[in-house]
This record gives sequence, C-alpha cells and structure tokens, in this order.
Amino acid sequence: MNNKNIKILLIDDEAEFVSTLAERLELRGYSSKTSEDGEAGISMVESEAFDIVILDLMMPGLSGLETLRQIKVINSKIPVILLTGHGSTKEGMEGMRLGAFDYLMKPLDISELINKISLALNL
Amino acid sequence: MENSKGKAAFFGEITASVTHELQNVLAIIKENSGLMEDILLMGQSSESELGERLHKSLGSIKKQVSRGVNLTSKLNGFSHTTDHVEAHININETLKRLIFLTGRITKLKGVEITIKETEKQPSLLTDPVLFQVAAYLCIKSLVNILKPGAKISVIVAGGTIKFRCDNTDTQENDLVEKIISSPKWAEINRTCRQVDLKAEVTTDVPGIILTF
Repeated sequence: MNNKNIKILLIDDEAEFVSTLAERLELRGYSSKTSEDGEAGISMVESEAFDIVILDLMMPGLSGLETLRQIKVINSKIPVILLTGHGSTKEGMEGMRLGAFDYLMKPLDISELINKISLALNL
Repeated sequence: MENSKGKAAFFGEITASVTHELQNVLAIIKENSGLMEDILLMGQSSESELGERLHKSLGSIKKQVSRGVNLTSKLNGFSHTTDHVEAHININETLKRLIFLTGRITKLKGVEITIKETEKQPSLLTDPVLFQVAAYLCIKSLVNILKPGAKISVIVAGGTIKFRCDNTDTQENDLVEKIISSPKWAEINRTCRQVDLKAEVTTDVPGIILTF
C-alpha cells in the first residue's frame, strides 16, 4: 500500500489545525478528509471507507472518547490515533482501553504521527 | 479550609482550560510553520501558488499569535486578582475576563455565553477571587443543566448580576427546579454569603440573580 491509497480521517474542532495537518499529510501523498466534530466524523466513517482515524479527545458536543466508542461500533478494526493535550494522558490511556491504537500529544510532531500511522497500518 | 479549597479548585479549572487553549494555539502555529517548511522543501509549487500558500500560513500564524497573546494577557490579569484580599473591582471587566477564560468550558458543553453591559463601570469593594468563584459557580451550574444550543446572557444592571438562560428548550419552572436541586446551588449560596452577595432563582429571568 503506498501513501496515495491510504485514506485518513482527521477529526478535531480546531478548524485551522485540522485543515493544515490535512494539507501536510497530502503533501506526503496521503489522502485525507477532515471533520470538525464527532457526530459528522461518525457519519463519514459510516458512509466512507477510511484506513485510519486521527481523533482529538477534547471536543465540544460529542466527546472524543464517545466518538471513539461509536466509531469502534461501526468498524471495530479501524485504527484510531488519539490527540491529547499535555496533562491529559489519563484520557489517552482510557482511549487505548477503549480500543485506540495509540495517543499523541499536541503540538504534534509530524514525523511521529507518520511513524504511528505506519505502525498502525503495518506498513 | 473549605474556602481555600474552593479557590484552589476554581484556579485549577480555569488554568487547565486556558492552557488547553494555548496548546491548540501552539499546535496550529507549529503545523503552519511546518507546512511552510514542507512547501519550500518540496519545491513543487509555482511561484504564484507558493506565494499564496505561504501568505495563507503566515495569516494563520499571525491570527494564532494574537489569540495566544489575548489568552495570556487575560490569564495574567486573572492571576493578579489574588494580589489583594479586598479591592475595588470593575464588575463588567471582571466578568468579561472570566467569561473569556471559561470560553472553552462553555464551548465544550455547546452553550454560548455573552455579557450585556447596560451600566457604566459598576464597581464593588469585595474579595476579587471569591466574587469570581461565585460568578463561575453560577455559570457552571447553568452550563451543567442546559442543553447544547442554549445561551446565557450576563446582565449587570441596577445592583444585580443576572445570568439569564435563553433558548433552553426547558420550561422556566423546570429550569428553576433544576438549578435549586443541583449540587452547586448550596455552594453558590455559601460563597455568595462570604462576599455579601444574595443569590436568587426566578422564573422571570429565567436563571440566577446575584444582588450586590
């Protein structure tokens, strides 16, 4: 699987963060789509096939953890990488207990994210 | 003891919320500077496209720096409210800063909060921290009760601070019942008594009224 065939869904309420991260991933050849809330993200997982989801834990409306739960009900095999703030490792650990592949701290290191994506997809 | 515990919890919640916002600000700045670096390194863009993309990223960085400066200056003002046990406070300015700093907490619950200034610079001689704790408890108790999409208007007029709930999707009587039976109501009253504020709940507003 080369990067072009990998479809990533990014869910984060910080619009500028998520759109810039999507652009950086696209420059590296990934195909990415974005959602600014959990409910819309869940609908996208229901209607489209994504290889991996990058999900922020702290969002208005549906929380990151609840979004994760519902995504896992729709597709238990889809790997989910969580994004947390420093000091929110407890939520990250809780997310892993709920089936997330791993969690990363914001601000992100793009090479660390790429590395986690590769590990999650066995590339 | 209970007093200082309440003050510490209040400062902890506000600081955690604001530092989370600042992490988002830094994350956006980092992604945009990274994107600029990517674009320059990859060198795939034409000159005009390159200029446009760099301009967009720079605009985003400037916006986030301004957001970060606003957050830190408000947080700085907030931290200085501990300087004196009693001081004259500008009620509008104090509440505006508190509402700004609690923005993420209310946003996470999907509740919008605004302040309507109808009086010029009303001031009060009080314990600035306890006054803010009282106002914060009012906001928090309402945010916990209200459904996403609801609005809270804070109105300072005629010796009162009204926390009026709009677009609540709840009958006024039910709202009053929920406020009074919430665990925060006793805490609001206890804190208000310490700073000579009187807390009331009415169906007319509907919401909480603090009289000073």
